[in-house]
Amino acid sequence: MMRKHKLITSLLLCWSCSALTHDFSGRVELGLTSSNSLTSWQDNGTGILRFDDTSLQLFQGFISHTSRPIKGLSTQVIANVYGDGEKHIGLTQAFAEYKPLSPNRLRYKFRAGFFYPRYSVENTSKGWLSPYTYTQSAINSWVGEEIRIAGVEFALFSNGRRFRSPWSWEINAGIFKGNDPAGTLLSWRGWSYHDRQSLHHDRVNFAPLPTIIEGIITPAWINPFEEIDGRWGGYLGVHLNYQHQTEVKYYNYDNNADPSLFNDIRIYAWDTKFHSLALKHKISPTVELLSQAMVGSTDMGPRVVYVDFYSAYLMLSYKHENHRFSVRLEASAADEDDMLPIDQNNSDTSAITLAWRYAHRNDGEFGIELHANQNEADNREQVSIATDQNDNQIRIVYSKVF
Amino acid sequence: MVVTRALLMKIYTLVIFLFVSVCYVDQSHASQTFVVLDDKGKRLSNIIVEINASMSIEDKPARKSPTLPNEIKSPIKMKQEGQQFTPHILLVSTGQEVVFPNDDNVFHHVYSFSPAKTFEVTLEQNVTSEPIVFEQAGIVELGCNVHDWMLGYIYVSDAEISGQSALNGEVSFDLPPGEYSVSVWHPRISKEDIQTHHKVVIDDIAEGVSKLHKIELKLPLYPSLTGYDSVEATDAY
Repeated sequence: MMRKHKLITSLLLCWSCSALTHDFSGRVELGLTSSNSLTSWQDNGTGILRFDDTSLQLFQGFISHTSRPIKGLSTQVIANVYGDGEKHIGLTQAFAEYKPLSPNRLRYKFRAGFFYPRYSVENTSKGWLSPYTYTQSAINSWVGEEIRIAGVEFALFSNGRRFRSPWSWEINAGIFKGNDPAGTLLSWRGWSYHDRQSLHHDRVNFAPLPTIIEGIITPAWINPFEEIDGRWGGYLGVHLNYQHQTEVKYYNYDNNADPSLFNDIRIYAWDTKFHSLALKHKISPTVELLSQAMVGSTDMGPRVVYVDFYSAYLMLSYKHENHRFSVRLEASAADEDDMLPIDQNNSDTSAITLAWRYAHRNDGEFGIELHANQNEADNREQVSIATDQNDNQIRIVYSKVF
Repeated sequence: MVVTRALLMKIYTLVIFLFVSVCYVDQSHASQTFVVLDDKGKRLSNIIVEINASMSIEDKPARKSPTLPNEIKSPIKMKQEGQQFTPHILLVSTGQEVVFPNDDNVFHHVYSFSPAKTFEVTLEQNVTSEPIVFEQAGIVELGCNVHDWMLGYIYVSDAEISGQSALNGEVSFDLPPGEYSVSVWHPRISKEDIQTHHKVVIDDIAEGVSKLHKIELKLPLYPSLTGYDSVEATDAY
């Protein structure tokens, strides 16, 4: 025991005293939120907003540690704290990336750990947050809560500018484990709008509807990053950039889960696959257009629950000095096609989100966001709640960056 | 203090002496302005202009760079600012020291594989590198391993005189009469135009009048990559 303790201490000393650099950064985001939404899914309700009342909240809190043991190699660990949800402290990302320098036109890089594939053009700030709105698009709200991989990614890329070409590209492919329940929330809750990323060991609740807990007999919560069937999933991504002005990203994700399997507490593996296409275009130095569309399906049972899902958003963002104004429109749906119609899975929603964010000095930000959505979920009938709902939400946010 | 007539005479004499001296200098080294024009006659800014005396009537011009005289060796800055290299093109003389201040709040990993200078330097936020000496003439292309779109150039010149054209496309030098070889460089100028040496003859100047010498490119510029960042956009084309 003593020997093991000494070994760990020596390794830690070696790590901290070596030539590698350590960089700590982070963000705390708090403020007032007010909404007329149904009870949040986090509290086992059928609402699709993160907060369902008027209250002071800690929206975000994270510390990011980056180290660079050798040139070209970096590690990043991001630890988050949340006041809401089932788990309050944990990791949202932890990975190592190796990107060796090379004069060649064709280069490669490699990532391993627990991380997001680079689907998003919206979540470009540290901690996988959005610099545009606080409430993220339905697509990236879902990605943040159910899609993360524990695996490896290899990428080939070419930087066009260095060779006087306006075109740059990247092709990446990853394999992973531990994302088997992905798709559960889209099927039994529907799309949602929030910025609550799931922690590595998180438990995400949803409404305990009779057909779920008594019919299918499965818990009204998931551990989103659990491995159930032992099978590898995979994804393929292609990025194409025109100058530094237009960026297009296509991804094909398939968790390759076995939909007939479940774990010892009857949490199922869901065979989930999707295509994602994202675009970011700088219309001018101050105006950006962003868009992302996702089409996919998820299956459990198999075919006990089978849902096709779709979502798309369009966002316009204008930056003037320290002010950023963003408006986002979006529409999303989930359509069931399975052998258990009594367990309703049809839902759809559309939303508009407007945000003004003002950065003062280098370490503070103040912002106000308005969000309104219409949403329909057939399975609310089971608990005698009107299937159609109109949600309005206002957030007043102060952020401190360090 | 009483200003006497004798004191006034001394001041007048001094002023006349200084005026004559300035006129003499102007006659021997008159200001010569060069303007670089593309194949359509448009003035081009931010172009490196190098001048070497091929045959001098009188004395050779002193080695000189308008950016910084060769004698001054204090480091010049190539900043990383807004995730761009600033300036986009930095002109230095051989032997010049350059530092790389990271004015961003993100990490940069600056590198070059150019034969004129191969190096890499990692820069934490708000840190300035140790000075790096650029001994060998040539083009040093800079990149960042974290931000692949970043691109900058250090042009290391061993010419007798070198300068960069201003926004109006002009660059001026004081040159004695003689015959000169003038060459130009910019990443968007074609290889053929870069390899062309323009012969410029400066006659014995009686009046000390500044002359405008046109350097005209034969081939079109390579396509603009202005959309990459605002630094390149300030190049005006």
